[in-house]
Amino acid sequence: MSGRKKKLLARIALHLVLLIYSAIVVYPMVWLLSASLKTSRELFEKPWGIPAVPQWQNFAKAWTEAGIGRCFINSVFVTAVSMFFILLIGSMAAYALARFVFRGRGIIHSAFVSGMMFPVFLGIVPLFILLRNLGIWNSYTGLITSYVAYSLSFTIFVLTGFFKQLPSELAEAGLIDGCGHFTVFWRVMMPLAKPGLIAAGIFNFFGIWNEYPLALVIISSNELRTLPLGIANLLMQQHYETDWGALFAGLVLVMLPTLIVYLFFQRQITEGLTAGALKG
Amino acid sequence: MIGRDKHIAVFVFLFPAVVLYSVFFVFPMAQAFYVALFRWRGLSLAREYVGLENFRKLLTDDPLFWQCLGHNLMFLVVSLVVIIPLGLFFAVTLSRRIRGAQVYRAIYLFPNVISVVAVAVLWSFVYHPTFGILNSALKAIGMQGPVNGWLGDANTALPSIIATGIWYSLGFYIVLLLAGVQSIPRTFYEAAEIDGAGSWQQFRHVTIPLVWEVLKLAVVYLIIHTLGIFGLVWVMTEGGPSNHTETLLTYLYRLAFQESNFGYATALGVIVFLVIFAISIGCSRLMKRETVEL
Repeated sequence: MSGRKKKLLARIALHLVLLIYSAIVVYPMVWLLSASLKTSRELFEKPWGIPAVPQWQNFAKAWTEAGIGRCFINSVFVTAVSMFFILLIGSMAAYALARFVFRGRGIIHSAFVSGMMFPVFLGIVPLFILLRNLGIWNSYTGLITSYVAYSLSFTIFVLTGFFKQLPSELAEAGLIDGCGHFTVFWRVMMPLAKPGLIAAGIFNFFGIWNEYPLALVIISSNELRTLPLGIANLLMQQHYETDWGALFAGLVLVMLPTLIVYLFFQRQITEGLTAGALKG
Repeated sequence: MIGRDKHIAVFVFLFPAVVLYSVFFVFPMAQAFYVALFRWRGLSLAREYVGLENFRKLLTDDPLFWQCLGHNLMFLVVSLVVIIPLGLFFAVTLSRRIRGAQVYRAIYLFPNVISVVAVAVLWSFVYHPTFGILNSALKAIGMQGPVNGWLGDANTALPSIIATGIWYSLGFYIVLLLAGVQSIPRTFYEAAEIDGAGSWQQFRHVTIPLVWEVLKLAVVYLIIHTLGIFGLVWVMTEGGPSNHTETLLTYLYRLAFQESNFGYATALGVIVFLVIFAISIGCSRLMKRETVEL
Protein backbone atom coordinates (compact mmCIF):
# COMPACT_ATOMS: atom_id res chain seq x y z
CA MET A 1 0.00 0.00 0.00
CA SER A 2 2.67 2.50 1.01
CA GLY A 3 4.82 1.29 -1.90
CA ARG A 4 2.05 2.19 -4.32
CA LYS A 5 1.62 5.55 -2.65
CA LYS A 6 5.32 6.22 -3.00
CA LYS A 7 5.20 5.36 -6.68
CA LEU A 8 2.26 7.66 -7.20
CA LEU A 9 4.07 10.50 -5.42
CA ALA A 10 7.16 9.92 -7.59
CA ARG A 11 4.99 10.08 -10.68
CA ILE A 12 3.41 13.34 -9.59
CA ALA A 13 6.83 14.82 -8.82
CA LEU A 14 8.07 13.80 -12.24
CA HIS A 15 5.13 15.44 -13.99
CA LEU A 16 5.65 18.53 -11.90
CA VAL A 17 9.25 18.80 -13.13
CA LEU A 18 8.16 18.28 -16.72
CA LEU A 19 5.48 20.93 -16.34
CA ILE A 20 7.84 23.43 -14.75
CA TYR A 21 10.25 23.17 -17.65
CA SER A 22 7.36 23.45 -20.11
CA ALA A 23 6.37 26.67 -18.38
CA ILE A 24 9.93 27.99 -18.62
CA VAL A 25 9.86 27.34 -22.37
CA VAL A 26 6.36 28.61 -23.05
CA TYR A 27 6.03 31.55 -20.67
CA PRO A 28 8.36 34.01 -22.45
CA MET A 29 6.37 33.43 -25.64
CA VAL A 30 3.02 33.95 -23.94
CA TRP A 31 4.42 37.08 -22.34
CA LEU A 32 5.51 38.25 -25.79
CA LEU A 33 2.07 37.65 -27.23
CA SER A 34 0.48 39.62 -24.41
CA ALA A 35 3.07 42.41 -24.70
CA SER A 36 2.45 42.71 -28.43
CA LEU A 37 -1.14 43.75 -27.65
CA LYS A 38 -0.32 46.32 -24.97
CA THR A 39 0.09 50.05 -25.05
CA SER A 40 3.54 51.35 -24.17
CA ARG A 41 2.18 52.65 -20.88
CA GLU A 42 0.73 49.29 -19.88
CA LEU A 43 4.05 47.69 -20.67
CA PHE A 44 5.81 49.82 -18.09
CA GLU A 45 3.09 49.89 -15.48
CA LYS A 46 1.94 46.27 -15.58
CA PRO A 47 4.65 44.14 -17.19
CA TRP A 48 2.98 40.94 -15.87
CA GLY A 49 -0.64 41.82 -16.55
CA ILE A 50 -2.72 41.20 -19.63
CA PRO A 51 -3.72 44.12 -21.89
CA ALA A 52 -6.98 45.87 -20.89
CA VAL A 53 -7.90 46.47 -24.52
CA PRO A 54 -5.95 44.44 -27.10
CA GLN A 55 -4.02 46.92 -29.26
CA TRP A 56 -4.33 45.21 -32.62
CA GLN A 57 -3.04 48.35 -34.31
CA ASN A 58 0.42 47.39 -32.98
CA PHE A 59 0.50 44.78 -35.73
CA ALA A 60 -0.55 47.27 -38.38
CA LYS A 61 2.13 49.67 -37.13
CA ALA A 62 4.75 46.93 -37.16
CA TRP A 63 3.77 45.94 -40.68
CA THR A 64 3.80 49.41 -42.22
CA GLU A 65 5.57 52.02 -40.09
CA ALA A 66 8.29 49.78 -38.66
CA GLY A 67 8.85 48.20 -42.08
CA ILE A 68 8.30 44.61 -40.89
CA GLY A 69 5.86 43.99 -43.74
CA ARG A 70 8.52 44.75 -46.31
CA CYS A 71 11.01 42.47 -44.53
CA PHE A 72 8.38 39.74 -44.31
CA ILE A 73 7.77 39.82 -48.04
CA ASN A 74 11.53 39.93 -48.69
CA SER A 75 12.02 36.88 -46.48
CA VAL A 76 9.24 34.97 -48.22
CA PHE A 77 10.83 35.75 -51.60
CA VAL A 78 14.41 34.88 -50.60
CA THR A 79 13.35 31.69 -48.80
CA ALA A 80 11.10 30.48 -51.66
CA VAL A 81 13.61 31.14 -54.44
CA SER A 82 16.53 29.71 -52.47
CA MET A 83 14.59 26.57 -51.59
CA PHE A 84 13.50 26.07 -55.18
CA PHE A 85 17.09 26.15 -56.44
CA ILE A 86 18.51 24.15 -53.54
CA LEU A 87 16.01 21.33 -54.05
CA LEU A 88 16.29 21.36 -57.85
CA ILE A 89 20.09 21.55 -58.10
CA GLY A 90 20.60 19.39 -55.03
CA SER A 91 18.30 16.61 -56.19
CA MET A 92 19.84 16.56 -59.68
CA ALA A 93 23.31 16.13 -58.22
CA ALA A 94 22.12 13.63 -55.60
CA TYR A 95 20.37 11.61 -58.31
CA ALA A 96 23.53 11.42 -60.43
CA LEU A 97 25.60 10.46 -57.39
CA ALA A 98 23.13 7.83 -56.20
CA ARG A 99 22.06 6.16 -59.45
CA PHE A 100 24.96 6.32 -61.90
CA VAL A 101 28.33 4.62 -61.79
CA PHE A 102 31.08 6.82 -63.15
CA ARG A 103 34.67 7.71 -62.48
CA GLY A 104 35.16 10.28 -59.71
CA ARG A 105 31.79 9.60 -58.10
CA GLY A 106 33.24 8.81 -54.68
CA ILE A 107 35.43 11.90 -54.66
CA ILE A 108 32.63 14.26 -55.71
CA HIS A 109 30.27 12.76 -53.13
CA SER A 110 32.73 13.14 -50.28
CA ALA A 111 33.66 16.65 -51.43
CA PHE A 112 30.02 17.65 -51.01
CA VAL A 113 29.40 15.83 -47.74
CA SER A 114 32.60 16.97 -46.01
CA GLY A 115 31.48 20.56 -46.59
CA MET A 116 29.24 20.14 -43.53
CA MET A 117 32.35 20.32 -41.34
CA PHE A 118 33.28 23.81 -42.47
CA PRO A 119 31.51 26.60 -40.58
CA VAL A 120 30.14 29.65 -42.40
CA PHE A 121 32.48 32.18 -40.80
CA LEU A 122 35.67 30.51 -42.00
CA GLY A 123 35.13 31.63 -45.58
CA ILE A 124 33.10 34.75 -44.82
CA VAL A 125 35.72 37.37 -45.77
CA PRO A 126 36.72 35.72 -49.08
CA LEU A 127 33.01 35.26 -49.90
CA PHE A 128 32.34 38.94 -49.17
CA ILE A 129 35.23 39.98 -51.46
CA LEU A 130 34.13 37.54 -54.16
CA LEU A 131 30.56 38.87 -54.17
CA ARG A 132 31.85 42.45 -54.34
CA ASN A 133 34.12 41.64 -57.26
CA LEU A 134 31.27 39.94 -59.10
CA GLY A 135 29.07 42.98 -58.45
CA ILE A 136 26.41 40.92 -56.65
CA TRP A 137 27.12 42.02 -53.08
CA ASN A 138 24.09 43.70 -51.48
CA SER A 139 21.72 41.97 -53.88
CA TYR A 140 19.35 39.00 -53.75
CA THR A 141 21.39 37.33 -56.48
CA GLY A 142 24.37 37.33 -54.13
CA LEU A 143 22.38 36.29 -51.06
CA ILE A 144 20.43 33.52 -52.77
CA THR A 145 23.50 32.17 -54.58
CA SER A 146 25.32 31.99 -51.27
CA TYR A 147 22.38 30.29 -49.55
CA VAL A 148 22.18 27.69 -52.31
CA ALA A 149 25.94 27.04 -52.25
CA TYR A 150 26.02 26.75 -48.45
CA SER A 151 23.02 24.39 -48.31
CA LEU A 152 24.13 21.94 -50.98
CA SER A 153 26.28 19.78 -48.67
CA PHE A 154 23.46 18.93 -46.31
CA THR A 155 20.83 18.64 -49.05
CA ILE A 156 22.91 16.32 -51.23
CA PHE A 157 23.79 14.24 -48.16
CA VAL A 158 20.10 13.72 -47.33
CA LEU A 159 18.82 13.24 -50.88
CA THR A 160 21.55 10.81 -52.01
CA GLY A 161 20.37 8.51 -49.23
CA PHE A 162 16.79 8.74 -50.46
CA PHE A 163 17.58 8.16 -54.15
CA LYS A 164 19.69 5.13 -53.24
CA GLN A 165 16.71 3.44 -51.59
CA LEU A 166 14.46 3.71 -54.66
CA PRO A 167 13.99 0.53 -56.72
CA SER A 168 16.04 0.59 -59.94
CA GLU A 169 13.44 -1.44 -61.90
CA LEU A 170 11.27 1.61 -62.40
CA ALA A 171 14.07 3.69 -63.88
CA GLU A 172 15.10 0.82 -66.15
CA ALA A 173 11.53 0.33 -67.31
CA GLY A 174 11.35 4.01 -68.14
CA LEU A 175 14.59 3.90 -70.11
CA ILE A 176 13.44 0.83 -72.06
CA ASP A 177 10.19 2.61 -72.89
CA GLY A 178 12.30 5.19 -74.65
CA CYS A 179 12.29 7.93 -72.04
CA GLY A 180 15.54 9.89 -71.75
CA HIS A 181 17.46 10.15 -68.49
CA PHE A 182 15.86 13.52 -67.80
CA THR A 183 12.32 12.31 -68.27
CA VAL A 184 13.02 9.37 -65.98
CA PHE A 185 14.48 11.72 -63.36
CA TRP A 186 11.67 14.24 -63.54
CA ARG A 187 8.65 11.98 -64.12
CA VAL A 188 9.61 8.80 -62.29
CA MET A 189 12.25 9.44 -59.66
CA MET A 190 11.31 12.89 -58.37
CA PRO A 191 7.75 11.89 -57.38
CA LEU A 192 9.14 8.81 -55.61
CA ALA A 193 11.69 10.89 -53.71
CA LYS A 194 9.00 13.20 -52.33
CA PRO A 195 9.51 12.25 -48.65
CA GLY A 196 13.19 13.06 -49.02
CA LEU A 197 12.44 16.36 -50.72
CA ILE A 198 10.02 17.27 -47.93
CA ALA A 199 12.58 16.42 -45.25
CA ALA A 200 15.33 18.41 -46.97
CA GLY A 201 12.85 21.20 -47.67
CA ILE A 202 11.77 21.56 -44.02
CA PHE A 203 15.32 21.86 -42.74
CA ASN A 204 16.28 24.30 -45.46
CA PHE A 205 13.16 26.34 -44.69
CA PHE A 206 14.16 26.79 -41.05
CA GLY A 207 17.77 27.34 -41.99
CA ILE A 208 17.06 30.12 -44.49
CA TRP A 209 14.03 31.77 -42.90
CA ASN A 210 16.01 32.17 -39.67
CA GLU A 211 19.43 32.83 -41.23
CA TYR A 212 21.28 35.84 -39.82
CA PRO A 213 25.10 36.04 -40.21
CA LEU A 214 25.29 35.67 -44.01
CA ALA A 215 22.43 38.12 -44.52
CA LEU A 216 24.12 40.56 -42.15
CA VAL A 217 27.32 40.44 -44.22
CA ILE A 218 25.75 40.34 -47.68
CA ILE A 219 22.79 42.77 -47.38
CA SER A 220 23.26 46.41 -46.47
CA SER A 221 20.33 48.29 -48.06
CA ASN A 222 17.29 48.85 -45.85
CA GLU A 223 14.82 47.84 -48.54
CA LEU A 224 16.52 44.45 -49.08
CA ARG A 225 16.50 43.41 -45.41
CA THR A 226 15.18 39.98 -44.50
CA LEU A 227 13.16 39.52 -41.29
CA PRO A 228 16.03 38.63 -38.93
CA LEU A 229 17.92 41.72 -40.11
CA GLY A 230 14.75 43.78 -39.80
CA ILE A 231 13.95 42.90 -36.19
CA ALA A 232 17.58 43.04 -35.06
CA ASN A 233 17.69 46.54 -36.51
CA LEU A 234 14.38 47.46 -34.92
CA LEU A 235 15.76 46.45 -31.52
CA MET A 236 18.78 48.71 -31.98
CA GLN A 237 16.55 51.62 -33.01
CA GLN A 238 14.21 51.00 -30.10
CA HIS A 239 16.98 51.74 -27.68
CA TYR A 240 16.37 55.38 -28.59
CA GLU A 241 12.64 55.45 -29.24
CA THR A 242 9.61 54.43 -27.26
CA ASP A 243 7.09 52.53 -29.41
CA TRP A 244 7.59 49.01 -28.09
CA GLY A 245 4.27 47.53 -29.11
CA ALA A 246 5.27 47.48 -32.78
CA LEU A 247 8.52 45.69 -32.00
CA PHE A 248 6.73 42.97 -30.04
CA ALA A 249 4.19 42.59 -32.80
CA GLY A 250 7.06 42.31 -35.29
CA LEU A 251 8.58 39.51 -33.20
CA VAL A 252 5.30 37.61 -33.23
CA LEU A 253 5.23 37.93 -37.02
CA VAL A 254 8.73 36.42 -37.32
CA MET A 255 7.86 33.41 -35.19
CA LEU A 256 4.45 32.69 -36.64
CA PRO A 257 5.52 30.96 -39.88
CA THR A 258 8.05 28.76 -38.08
CA LEU A 259 5.41 27.84 -35.50
CA ILE A 260 2.97 26.84 -38.24
CA VAL A 261 5.52 24.76 -40.16
CA TYR A 262 6.66 23.22 -36.88
CA LEU A 263 3.14 22.18 -35.87
CA PHE A 264 2.48 20.78 -39.33
CA PHE A 265 5.65 18.73 -39.66
CA GLN A 266 6.41 18.09 -35.99
CA ARG A 267 6.95 14.35 -36.51
CA GLN A 268 9.19 14.66 -39.54
CA ILE A 269 11.24 17.33 -37.81
CA THR A 270 11.86 15.31 -34.66
CA GLU A 271 12.62 12.16 -36.62
CA GLY A 272 14.72 13.89 -39.26
CA LEU A 273 16.69 15.76 -36.65
CA THR A 274 17.66 12.69 -34.73
CA ALA A 275 18.07 10.38 -37.73
CA GLY A 276 20.41 12.86 -39.37
CA ALA A 277 22.31 13.42 -36.17
CA LEU A 278 22.61 9.76 -35.27
CA LYS A 279 23.81 8.71 -38.70
CA GLY A 280 26.24 11.59 -39.06
CA MET B 1 25.53 5.29 -77.64
CA ILE B 2 23.92 4.52 -74.29
CA GLY B 3 27.31 5.01 -72.63
CA ARG B 4 27.68 8.48 -74.15
CA ASP B 5 24.10 9.28 -73.18
CA LYS B 6 24.87 8.35 -69.63
CA HIS B 7 27.92 10.54 -69.47
CA ILE B 8 26.05 13.51 -70.87
CA ALA B 9 23.30 12.95 -68.28
CA VAL B 10 25.76 12.71 -65.39
CA PHE B 11 27.50 15.87 -66.59
CA VAL B 12 24.28 17.86 -66.88
CA PHE B 13 22.93 16.63 -63.53
CA LEU B 14 26.09 17.47 -61.65
CA PHE B 15 27.16 20.62 -63.45
CA PRO B 16 25.11 23.32 -61.63
CA ALA B 17 25.79 21.92 -58.17
CA VAL B 18 29.51 21.45 -58.76
CA VAL B 19 29.97 24.94 -60.21
CA LEU B 20 27.99 26.75 -57.48
CA TYR B 21 29.57 24.72 -54.71
CA SER B 22 33.10 25.20 -56.01
CA VAL B 23 32.85 28.92 -56.68
CA PHE B 24 30.81 30.06 -53.68
CA PHE B 25 31.72 27.49 -51.04
CA VAL B 26 34.96 25.59 -51.65
CA PHE B 27 36.84 28.53 -53.13
CA PRO B 28 36.12 30.98 -50.24
CA MET B 29 36.87 28.31 -47.64
CA ALA B 30 40.18 27.42 -49.27
CA GLN B 31 41.07 31.04 -49.89
CA ALA B 32 40.66 31.78 -46.18
CA PHE B 33 43.88 29.93 -45.41
CA TYR B 34 45.66 32.14 -47.95
CA VAL B 35 44.06 35.50 -47.06
CA ALA B 36 45.09 34.88 -43.43
CA LEU B 37 48.73 35.32 -44.48
CA PHE B 38 48.28 38.95 -45.56
CA ARG B 39 48.09 42.31 -43.92
CA TRP B 40 45.08 43.61 -45.76
CA ARG B 41 43.09 46.61 -44.63
CA GLY B 42 40.15 48.13 -46.44
CA LEU B 43 38.93 47.30 -49.87
CA SER B 44 42.07 48.48 -51.60
CA LEU B 45 44.03 45.97 -53.60
CA ALA B 46 47.14 46.78 -51.62
CA ARG B 47 47.82 43.79 -49.47
CA GLU B 48 51.10 42.77 -48.05
CA TYR B 49 52.27 39.21 -47.50
CA VAL B 50 53.22 38.83 -43.85
CA GLY B 51 53.42 35.05 -43.44
CA LEU B 52 52.23 33.88 -40.04
CA GLU B 53 52.43 37.35 -38.49
CA ASN B 54 48.63 37.59 -38.06
CA PHE B 55 48.62 34.34 -36.13
CA ARG B 56 51.56 35.38 -33.99
CA LYS B 57 49.91 38.68 -33.17
CA LEU B 58 46.59 37.04 -32.29
CA LEU B 59 48.12 34.41 -30.04
CA THR B 60 50.80 36.45 -28.28
CA ASP B 61 49.92 40.10 -28.68
CA ASP B 62 46.14 40.38 -28.52
CA PRO B 63 44.63 40.11 -25.03
CA LEU B 64 41.13 40.55 -26.47
CA PHE B 65 41.49 37.29 -28.39
CA TRP B 66 42.14 35.41 -25.17
CA GLN B 67 39.32 37.25 -23.44
CA CYS B 68 36.95 36.16 -26.22
CA LEU B 69 38.19 32.60 -26.06
CA GLY B 70 37.62 32.68 -22.31
CA HIS B 71 34.01 33.78 -22.80
CA ASN B 72 33.43 31.04 -25.35
CA LEU B 73 34.95 28.44 -23.04
CA MET B 74 32.77 29.71 -20.19
CA PHE B 75 29.82 29.23 -22.52
CA LEU B 76 31.00 25.71 -23.34
CA VAL B 77 31.66 24.64 -19.75
CA VAL B 78 28.39 25.99 -18.32
CA SER B 79 26.45 24.44 -21.21
CA LEU B 80 28.15 21.09 -20.66
CA VAL B 81 27.47 21.12 -16.93
CA VAL B 82 23.82 22.12 -17.34
CA ILE B 83 22.74 20.63 -20.65
CA ILE B 84 24.23 17.14 -20.45
CA PRO B 85 22.75 16.15 -17.04
CA LEU B 86 19.43 17.90 -17.65
CA GLY B 87 19.27 16.54 -21.19
CA LEU B 88 19.88 13.02 -19.93
CA PHE B 89 17.35 13.41 -17.13
CA PHE B 90 14.60 14.61 -19.47
CA ALA B 91 15.52 12.03 -22.11
CA VAL B 92 15.30 9.15 -19.65
CA THR B 93 12.07 10.51 -18.16
CA LEU B 94 10.40 10.98 -21.53
CA SER B 95 11.48 7.53 -22.71
CA ARG B 96 9.32 5.96 -20.00
CA ARG B 97 5.62 5.35 -20.45
CA ILE B 98 4.59 8.81 -19.39
CA ARG B 99 1.37 10.50 -20.29
CA GLY B 100 1.91 13.35 -22.74
CA ALA B 101 5.56 12.50 -23.43
CA GLN B 102 5.20 13.55 -27.06
CA VAL B 103 3.63 16.86 -26.12
CA TYR B 104 6.46 17.65 -23.73
CA ARG B 105 8.99 16.73 -26.41
CA ALA B 106 7.30 19.00 -28.92
CA ILE B 107 7.25 21.92 -26.46
CA TYR B 108 10.88 21.46 -25.45
CA LEU B 109 12.11 21.42 -29.04
CA PHE B 110 10.17 24.50 -30.11
CA PRO B 111 12.70 27.23 -29.15
CA ASN B 112 15.17 25.49 -31.44
CA VAL B 113 13.17 26.26 -34.58
CA ILE B 114 12.73 29.98 -33.81
CA SER B 115 15.17 32.43 -35.34
CA VAL B 116 18.14 33.04 -33.06
CA VAL B 117 17.54 36.75 -33.64
CA ALA B 118 13.96 36.48 -32.40
CA VAL B 119 15.17 34.58 -29.32
CA ALA B 120 17.79 37.24 -28.68
CA VAL B 121 15.30 40.10 -28.99
CA LEU B 122 12.72 38.31 -26.84
CA TRP B 123 15.23 37.69 -24.06
CA SER B 124 16.55 41.23 -24.28
CA PHE B 125 13.13 42.17 -22.97
CA VAL B 126 13.10 39.52 -20.27
CA TYR B 127 16.32 41.19 -19.03
CA HIS B 128 15.09 44.75 -19.68
CA PRO B 129 15.77 47.13 -16.74
CA THR B 130 12.28 48.71 -16.50
CA PHE B 131 9.63 46.35 -17.81
CA GLY B 132 11.59 43.08 -18.10
CA ILE B 133 9.89 40.15 -16.33
CA LEU B 134 13.02 39.38 -14.37
CA ASN B 135 13.47 42.76 -12.74
CA SER B 136 9.77 43.23 -12.08
CA ALA B 137 9.61 39.78 -10.48
CA LEU B 138 12.49 40.71 -8.21
CA LYS B 139 10.77 43.99 -7.38
CA ALA B 140 7.59 42.10 -6.45
CA ILE B 141 9.51 40.16 -3.77
CA GLY B 142 11.26 43.30 -2.57
CA MET B 143 14.63 42.85 -4.26
CA GLN B 144 16.31 44.89 -6.91
CA GLY B 145 17.87 43.61 -10.12
CA PRO B 146 20.73 45.34 -11.96
CA VAL B 147 19.82 49.00 -12.56
CA ASN B 148 21.08 48.97 -16.15
CA GLY B 149 19.31 45.70 -16.88
CA TRP B 150 20.89 42.26 -16.82
CA LEU B 151 22.60 42.80 -20.15
CA GLY B 152 23.93 46.23 -19.24
CA ASP B 153 25.80 45.02 -16.16
CA ALA B 154 29.35 43.71 -16.61
CA ASN B 155 28.82 40.94 -14.05
CA THR B 156 25.48 39.61 -15.22
CA ALA B 157 25.65 40.11 -19.01
CA LEU B 158 27.54 36.96 -19.94
CA PRO B 159 25.62 34.62 -17.57
CA SER B 160 22.36 36.09 -18.91
CA ILE B 161 23.33 35.33 -22.50
CA ILE B 162 24.47 31.83 -21.53
CA ALA B 163 21.12 31.18 -19.84
CA THR B 164 19.35 32.26 -23.02
CA GLY B 165 21.58 29.96 -25.07
CA ILE B 166 20.65 27.04 -22.82
CA TRP B 167 16.93 27.89 -23.03
CA TYR B 168 17.30 27.92 -26.80
CA SER B 169 19.18 24.66 -27.28
CA LEU B 170 18.31 22.31 -24.39
CA GLY B 171 15.36 20.89 -26.35
CA PHE B 172 17.61 19.85 -29.20
CA TYR B 173 19.83 17.85 -26.85
CA ILE B 174 16.85 16.29 -25.09
CA VAL B 175 15.51 15.05 -28.43
CA LEU B 176 18.94 13.85 -29.51
CA LEU B 177 19.59 11.94 -26.28
CA LEU B 178 16.01 10.67 -26.22
CA ALA B 179 16.57 9.00 -29.59
CA GLY B 180 19.66 7.37 -28.11
CA VAL B 181 17.82 6.16 -25.00
CA GLN B 182 14.90 4.86 -27.05
CA SER B 183 17.20 2.77 -29.22
CA ILE B 184 18.21 0.68 -26.19
CA PRO B 185 16.32 -2.64 -26.32
CA ARG B 186 13.92 -3.10 -23.40
CA THR B 187 15.30 -6.57 -22.75
CA PHE B 188 18.50 -5.03 -21.39
CA TYR B 189 16.54 -3.35 -18.62
CA GLU B 190 14.47 -6.46 -17.96
CA ALA B 191 17.64 -8.50 -17.61
CA ALA B 192 19.09 -5.92 -15.23
CA GLU B 193 15.90 -5.92 -13.20
CA ILE B 194 15.97 -9.70 -12.86
CA ASP B 195 19.54 -9.34 -11.60
CA GLY B 196 18.13 -7.03 -8.93
CA ALA B 197 19.43 -3.72 -10.25
CA GLY B 198 17.61 -0.63 -8.95
CA SER B 199 16.76 2.28 -11.22
CA TRP B 200 20.00 4.15 -10.45
CA GLN B 201 22.04 1.04 -11.20
CA GLN B 202 20.10 0.49 -14.40
CA PHE B 203 20.84 4.07 -15.39
CA ARG B 204 24.51 3.72 -14.51
CA HIS B 205 25.17 0.30 -16.03
CA VAL B 206 22.68 0.05 -18.89
CA THR B 207 21.65 3.51 -20.05
CA ILE B 208 24.96 5.33 -19.80
CA PRO B 209 27.16 2.79 -21.60
CA LEU B 210 24.56 2.30 -24.33
CA VAL B 211 23.95 5.98 -25.03
CA TRP B 212 27.68 6.73 -24.86
CA GLU B 213 28.03 7.23 -28.61
CA VAL B 214 25.11 9.66 -28.69
CA LEU B 215 26.44 11.42 -25.62
CA LYS B 216 29.76 11.86 -27.39
CA LEU B 217 27.95 13.31 -30.38
CA ALA B 218 26.08 15.73 -28.10
CA VAL B 219 29.37 16.93 -26.62
CA VAL B 220 30.85 17.52 -30.08
CA TYR B 221 27.72 19.48 -31.10
CA LEU B 222 28.00 21.56 -27.93
CA ILE B 223 31.60 22.41 -28.75
CA ILE B 224 30.70 23.44 -32.30
CA HIS B 225 27.69 25.46 -31.18
CA THR B 226 29.30 27.29 -28.27
CA LEU B 227 32.56 28.18 -30.02
CA GLY B 228 30.59 29.25 -33.08
CA ILE B 229 28.13 31.43 -31.20
CA PHE B 230 27.42 34.74 -32.92
CA GLY B 231 23.84 35.89 -33.50
CA LEU B 232 22.68 35.65 -29.90
CA VAL B 233 25.54 37.78 -28.59
CA TRP B 234 25.59 40.22 -31.48
CA VAL B 235 21.90 41.04 -31.17
CA MET B 236 21.75 41.08 -27.36
CA THR B 237 24.88 43.08 -26.51
CA GLU B 238 27.17 43.44 -29.56
CA GLY B 239 29.88 42.10 -27.26
CA GLY B 240 29.39 44.81 -24.64
CA PRO B 241 29.35 46.26 -22.07
CA SER B 242 33.01 47.05 -22.88
CA ASN B 243 33.89 43.60 -24.30
CA HIS B 244 32.45 41.72 -21.33
CA THR B 245 30.47 39.42 -23.63
CA GLU B 246 32.74 39.57 -26.69
CA THR B 247 33.09 36.14 -28.27
CA LEU B 248 35.44 34.86 -30.97
CA LEU B 249 32.97 35.42 -33.77
CA THR B 250 31.62 38.80 -32.68
CA TYR B 251 35.26 39.88 -32.56
CA LEU B 252 35.82 38.42 -36.03
CA TYR B 253 32.78 40.27 -37.37
CA ARG B 254 33.93 43.52 -35.79
CA LEU B 255 37.45 43.12 -37.22
CA ALA B 256 36.29 42.23 -40.70
CA PHE B 257 33.22 44.35 -41.29
CA GLN B 258 33.62 47.33 -39.00
CA GLU B 259 37.39 47.79 -39.15
CA SER B 260 37.96 46.21 -42.60
CA ASN B 261 40.91 44.32 -41.18
CA PHE B 262 40.41 41.38 -43.53
CA GLY B 263 43.66 39.45 -43.18
CA TYR B 264 43.65 39.55 -39.39
CA ALA B 265 39.95 38.65 -39.15
CA THR B 266 40.44 35.69 -41.45
CA ALA B 267 43.40 34.47 -39.39
CA LEU B 268 41.05 34.54 -36.39
CA GLY B 269 38.52 32.51 -38.41
CA VAL B 270 41.16 29.91 -39.22
CA ILE B 271 42.16 29.64 -35.57
CA VAL B 272 38.53 29.20 -34.45
CA PHE B 273 38.05 26.52 -37.09
CA LEU B 274 41.19 24.69 -35.96
CA VAL B 275 40.22 24.98 -32.28
CA ILE B 276 36.77 23.51 -32.96
CA PHE B 277 38.34 20.77 -35.03
CA ALA B 278 40.99 19.93 -32.43
CA ILE B 279 38.65 19.98 -29.41
CA SER B 280 36.05 17.88 -31.22
CA ILE B 281 38.60 15.24 -32.17
CA GLY B 282 40.24 15.40 -28.76
CA CYS B 283 36.90 14.91 -27.02
CA SER B 284 35.92 11.95 -29.17
CA ARG B 285 39.29 10.34 -28.45
CA LEU B 286 39.03 10.98 -24.75
CA MET B 287 35.53 9.59 -24.54
CA LYS B 288 36.44 6.59 -26.67
CA ARG B 289 38.99 5.46 -24.13
CA GLU B 290 36.38 5.49 -21.41
CA THR B 291 33.99 3.40 -23.46
CA VAL B 292 36.63 0.68 -23.63
CA GLU B 293 37.13 0.81 -19.87
CA LEU B 294 33.46 0.20 -19.18
